[in-house]
Parts: sequence; structure tokens; C-alpha cells
Amino acid sequence: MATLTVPNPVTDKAIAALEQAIGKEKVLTDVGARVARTRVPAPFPVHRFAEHMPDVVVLPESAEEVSAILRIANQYRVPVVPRAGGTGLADGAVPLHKGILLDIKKMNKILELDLVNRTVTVQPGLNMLKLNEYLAPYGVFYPDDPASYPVSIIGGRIGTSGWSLIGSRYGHTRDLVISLQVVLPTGEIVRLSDGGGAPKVRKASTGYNLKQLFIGTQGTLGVVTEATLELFPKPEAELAAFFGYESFEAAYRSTGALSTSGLGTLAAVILFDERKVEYLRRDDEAYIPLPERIKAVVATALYGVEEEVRAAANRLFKIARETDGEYLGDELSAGDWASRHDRYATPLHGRLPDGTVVPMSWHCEDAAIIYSELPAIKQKWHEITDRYIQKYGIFDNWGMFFYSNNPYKGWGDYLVEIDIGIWEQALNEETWQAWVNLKREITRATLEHQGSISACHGACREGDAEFIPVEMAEGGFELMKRIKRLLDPNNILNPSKNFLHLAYADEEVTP
Amino acid sequence: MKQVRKGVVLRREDLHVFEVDPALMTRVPQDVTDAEQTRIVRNRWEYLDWMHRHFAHNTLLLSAVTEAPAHGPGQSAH
Repeated sequence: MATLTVPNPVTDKAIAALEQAIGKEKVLTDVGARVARTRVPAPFPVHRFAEHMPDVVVLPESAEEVSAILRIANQYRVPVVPRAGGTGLADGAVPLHKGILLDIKKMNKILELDLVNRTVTVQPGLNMLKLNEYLAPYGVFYPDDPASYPVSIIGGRIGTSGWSLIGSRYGHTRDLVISLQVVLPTGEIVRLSDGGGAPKVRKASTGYNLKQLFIGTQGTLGVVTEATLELFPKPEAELAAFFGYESFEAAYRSTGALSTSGLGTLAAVILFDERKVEYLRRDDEAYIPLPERIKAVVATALYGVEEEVRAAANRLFKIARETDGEYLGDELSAGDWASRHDRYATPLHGRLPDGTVVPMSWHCEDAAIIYSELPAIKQKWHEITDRYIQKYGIFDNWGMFFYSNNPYKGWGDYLVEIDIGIWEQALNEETWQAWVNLKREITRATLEHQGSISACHGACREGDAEFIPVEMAEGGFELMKRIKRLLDPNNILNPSKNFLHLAYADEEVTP
Repeated sequence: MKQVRKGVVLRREDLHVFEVDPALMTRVPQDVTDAEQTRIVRNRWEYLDWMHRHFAHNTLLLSAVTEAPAHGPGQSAH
């Protein structure tokens, strides 16, 4: 079978077919529409912008229109890249071979609210904040809470298998999706749930659990066109408490004690290392007044019924004090916690080695690492980053966070984040390659410490993707390749993403 | 304007506004008026209050529920 390892450009004929299938007004070829959908906020090789710009943007409104687009893509052998909010930090929505950019934002309808069975069924182009505004009068809540909460979109959350700030209480995206409607790369429309096909059943043992296969694919296996989601009672009470420590080691031990407390209302435990506190003291009004003796911070948050939250707060405070934590006050705790739902509002700037301020974009490394390895990975990642800063001078170390990562419980593994500023305007091919090499070193360290490359964004970028076959070396990546070829025989859906061009490596190439 | 630590100045005590030392801002100079700064700060607090209400019916503070002090180290009432 002929496939595409070098994809075809989108021809005028293909564009005419798209216009006929879904209507001319939903097919955009102007430069503005294409430029706006070329990159995401993550650091980007701006000197190679044109290589990633899609040929055409389509804005379908239904599963049937998505199906028609994918059938046309197969007919003309052209790539299709699905895109939701474009807020992902791992380039899942960035075209690697131009092609058709399938923007799902017009599929933003709420299809059914079932208060009896506590589900809501939506199209994937809806934003969580808007959904929760709709749900609020009914006293229910969809608790998927990324740092991009006001601007990211449900389809993107499913495509990346997103991580939620309050996931240790409510679960993450994959735990909150009950069933899906998916359009396969060849255009068939299927309904998938937790085994069987019942769209509102959370736990079934009938057949394969195919739903999870389509969560976190970065749009390489299908396009989600409908999702039935879990609803919770809107929390009666929230309480955030931030504690300061005189050393990272003390804060690390306290993190372990807090996260294993067994408190059912505990939604998050977040450890800030010394470099993060140093960075915040430089640039964040809440942390600037902190005395120098505070070297590390642990943030916690409780959600639930008020009586439970009050009781849990007392236990939390007791544990923090017993592990040398000092409460950082109501203003910092409540204010910083509220701002964590929206980290994308932060104006981004960084410092050159001489302290001068320049605009910088934000790299957020997001490995999943088990608790025992956190101190070692912290040391290695900082050593790597500082070495590149010293040599190239256009990166800035913004410190590290360690977020509880296990759904419904605080212990176990952590989303380990090092934030690095990058002065994009100064990038050229040499410094971009240096950046990719920095990432590669970080990824190697992750794998050496039994970690996974990504906890929440995906492993799509250069510096990550080439290590997927390494992380999944015990047969997992071979299976991924077989599944990709089976479902996408012409390699039209987000081709080459997740290093899956290897799925077609032994095929004949038909440009 | 008062230097509070290396690279940071306190610009508005009334609104708790700190800024990067202007000496470090030569590549990206910013000129924000006091009125505009007041608007930004107040809108930010309003937004964060809204965010609390959006996620829960009631926001509890640790100092109200336990014997924890309301003000942390380095903090003062605003």
C-alpha cells in the first residue's frame, strides 16, 4: 500500500472539494487565518516559521463534516492536523508537514445535560470555563482545571490527556471522560466508552476499553467530535494553604507527609524548589516580601463539603507544622491559588545573564517522576539548564515545581516541571539546536530516573519525540506503530507526530 | 520608588505594586501611568475573587479555621 512519508501539498482541487463538502465559509486560505494557527505558546523555531504554516484552515461544525474532510484528505493524500485552543505546550497542534489545519472551535455546543445521571455531553470545541458557567445554576461542576483553564478547550484536553491542578481530588481529563464519539482517520464515525458502547456507563467489562486508546493521541488516531463528561457537585468550600521551609529537603519531606495524609478533600500538593522561590522573589509581588530564610514552598488545596474541608484544614496545618512548615498567610495562599487556574495571563519576560529584562517565551518541561527520585532529578535538570545558560546566554532558569500527579490521591508520582525562558527573537539555527540538545539531556535524565517524558503536555517536540521509542522499548512503541498503520493507512492524521513516521518506514513512498 | 531587594523596587505601597528595577528594563522600557496601574491591580484582584467563586461556593482561609496567623512572614495588611 502506498503511503505518505513525504506528504503531498494541498492542491486547488482538494480545496475545492473541501469547500463543496462543508461550505466555502468554513474553508480559510488567507495568510492571517493560517499564521494564527501555525504555532502554540511553547518555544518555537521562529526562523523556520513558514515550514509549519498550514496550507488551508477548515472549521467544521459536525462529525459528518469532519468525516467528509478526512475522506477528502485520504483521497488527495494530504495531512490533517487537528487543533483546539492552541494552548498546548508540546506542539501537538503544530503542523510538521503543513496540510489541512482542522480547527474544532466551531464545534462548541452543549448537547445534553443529564442531572439525574450526572453527565454532560458536549462537542469538543467548548472551553471548560464556559461549560462551568453554564453548569453553575444547576449546582454541578466539571473539574478539569489546567493552567490554561480560561482559554483551553475540551477537545485539546482529550487529545493531550491533560493534567488537572485539582486532579488529586477529582481525577484528570482521562478520568473525567465517560465516552467519546470519534471520527477515525478514514472517516468512519464510532462511539467508544469504558468497554461496551453505553455512553453514560463509567465502568464496564464488555469488550476492549477503547475509549482510553483515543485519549492522549495528539490527534494521530482520530478526531473527537463528541464527549460525555463526568459532573461533580460544585464544591461548597475551597481552602488553599501555602507553607514556607528553610530548606528544599524539609519541604520535600513535608510534601511526602502531606500527600500521604489520606485526606479525601486534598486536591493538590505542589512543591516549589529554591530556584523557583528565588525566581518568584524577583518577579512576583506575592513572594517579593518573603524573608530570605524561606527557601522552598509547599502549596496545598482542599475542596469539598465545608465540614470536611474545615476538619481537613486542621489536620493539614498540624502536619505542615510538624514537618517544619511556616504558614505564609491568607493573602498569599488565597491569591496565588486563584491565579494558578490561569497561568496564561502572565506577561512573560526573563533575564539575560547580566540581569537585563527581555521578552521570553515559556518552556515548561513536564515529566512524570516518582517521589523517591525528585531530589536527584532536580539537581540534574538544574545542572543541565545552567550549563546551557552559561554557554548561550539566551535562556533563563525559572525554577522547578513538583505537582501531585496521581488521580484521586496525592502520593506516588509527581508532575515535575522546570520552567525555562527563551529569548525567541535571538534564535537562529545554532541556538535552536542548542535548545533541542538541552531538552534531549533533560529527557535522558528523566528516563534514567524511571520517569516518563511527559505528565500532561505530550512528547511531541523535537528533543522529546525521538525518545518515545526508548521509553516504550519493551514492545509498546511497536504496538503503537501497528495501531497507527491499522487505523490510518494513508498516514494523513497529524503525520510524523509522536515519532510515528516510523510506522510507515518500510512502506513505499508516494509523494 | 524604593529599592526592596536587588533588581526589585516598590513603586506603590498603597497597592502593593513592585516592579523590576528600571535600570534593568532598558531593552523593553515600560511607561504605565498611576491611573492605569490602579486599574490593572484592581481588575486583577476582582478577577481572582471571581475565580474563587467560580470554583467553590465559599473560600475559607486557614487563619479562620485554625490558629494559623492571617499574615505570613513579610506580609502586612493591605
